[in-house]
Amino acid sequence: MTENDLRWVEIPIPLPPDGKNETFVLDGRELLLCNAGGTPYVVPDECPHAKISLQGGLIEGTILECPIHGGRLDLRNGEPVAKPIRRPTKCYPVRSVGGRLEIGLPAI
Amino acid sequence: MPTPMERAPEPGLEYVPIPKTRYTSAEYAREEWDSMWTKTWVCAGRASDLARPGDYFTLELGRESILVVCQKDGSLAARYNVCMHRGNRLREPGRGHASKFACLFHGWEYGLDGALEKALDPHCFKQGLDRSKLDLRPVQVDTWAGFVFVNLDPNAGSLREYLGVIPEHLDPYRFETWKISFDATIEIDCNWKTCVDAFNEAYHLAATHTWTLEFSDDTRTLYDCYDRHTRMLFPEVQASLRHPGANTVTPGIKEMFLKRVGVDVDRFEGDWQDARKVFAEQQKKLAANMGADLSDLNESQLCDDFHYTVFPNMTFNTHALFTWVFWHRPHPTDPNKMSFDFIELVNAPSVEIPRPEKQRFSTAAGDTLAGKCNGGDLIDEDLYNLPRIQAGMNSAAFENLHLCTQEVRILHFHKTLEDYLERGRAERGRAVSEADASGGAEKRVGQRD
Repeated sequence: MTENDLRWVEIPIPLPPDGKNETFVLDGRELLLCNAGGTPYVVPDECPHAKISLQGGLIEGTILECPIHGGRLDLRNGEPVAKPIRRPTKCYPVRSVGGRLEIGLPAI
Repeated sequence: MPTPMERAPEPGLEYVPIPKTRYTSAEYAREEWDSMWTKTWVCAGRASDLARPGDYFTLELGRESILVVCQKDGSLAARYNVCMHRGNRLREPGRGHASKFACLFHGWEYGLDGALEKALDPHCFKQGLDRSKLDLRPVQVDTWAGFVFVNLDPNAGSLREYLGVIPEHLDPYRFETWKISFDATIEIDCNWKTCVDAFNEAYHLAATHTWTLEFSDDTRTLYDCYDRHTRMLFPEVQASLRHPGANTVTPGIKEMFLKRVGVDVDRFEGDWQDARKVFAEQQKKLAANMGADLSDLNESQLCDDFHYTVFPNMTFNTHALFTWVFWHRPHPTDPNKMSFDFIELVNAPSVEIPRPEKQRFSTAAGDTLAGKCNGGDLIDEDLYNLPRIQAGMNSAAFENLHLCTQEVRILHFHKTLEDYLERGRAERGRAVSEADASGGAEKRVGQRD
């Protein structure tokens, strides 16, 4: 998928403080906006392991930790880096336009 | 209070052979577990890793895994890392952050305070869910100098009492403000004591670390034995009397020490004692830039390695601005394997130092530390020896360790260990006697019936 295949939509919440995350809903999707060292990342607010919310999970570097079972994901590519998470999650592209954060969703 | 410099009384130990079976026998390892590991205070990690409520780390010690956690009120607690439903481990080894601890097997959930908060389908437990039996099982925990210790013995005495002289000797360094700058665990194919021993003497320097004799002095190292713990005062910025450059300012002293603290070595004209003074003074200047307080340290502490071993498995290579701390952990079942934790602490309270991730290595895989941390090439020389020592100890040709006065700390270590094991043997003996007496009484009662 290229940038042309995306439609860019403003993220309706501000970037949380460094190392924190916050949930938001867009187009019926429950998403998680993460701040990893000042860089924003968006992943589904659902752990690929137990299908529970990742909100409140600690972020160290670019690694997000599930607050309930301790599995870890790399926010840069969604890859699991610690069990019990074994499957990757989706990573949405994020960009900053005029101070606003936008997420790239599929065009159709 | 400054670190006491007077020598400890001569321990009066006999230079008896140490049976190799203490390093190779699974039976001896079981005895160590039953009578020593489950009775002593063992360091689990740094309090700085438990700064926020929900922060936790595990201590993997033999067959046990202990979960050490910062609770909601900021206090520390330690509990067995075991779900009380079917025994599953709650968390993988390592450190992390949790809002609660949920078991992956059936989803039982525990709060940060260890209380069982949720069990799936509680109505199915006909016997009920007695929280007093189903909360996570507690373990004693306490801290000293920013180190977190646990004790598996619910009746153990206090950590302070256990540490004996150690706080008096090491508090002047103010370790509670030091920061972790390197963190690694190395799986080594040797017994945990083989590794402790390797760092408990300077006798191996001449053969293992020959190149260091130019700036460190095995021949004027002092050894002190205390109640359980020991130390060696190991001179640095000073060549060994075995080295041709003894009592001179060797090129190694200039390169490895003076140059590193900003001395213009081309213009330095003093003798070796002047070199130590200059190095100590420069250390103080560096310290000021890093917010470090060296006011309680003497000149020797500004130059030398004040090497302490806290029984059973904690080693300090203490310097004024950096310290290497080792933990030597036993394998759950195999006396020929162990885990070696190596952290570097730096005395830099005012410097922002990101917490490094733990790196994992293995001697069996041929991993080396050179280039990965300060002193990696030095530690590599020990890592090369250790599996070979263990292999040799397993030979039919080898029966006992044959120790010299420079290895007195090893002798003292074994005496301390054996004291624990003797107490365990005595307790088991008493238990057997009581069981025999009780069994005999039952028999007599039966006979009367």
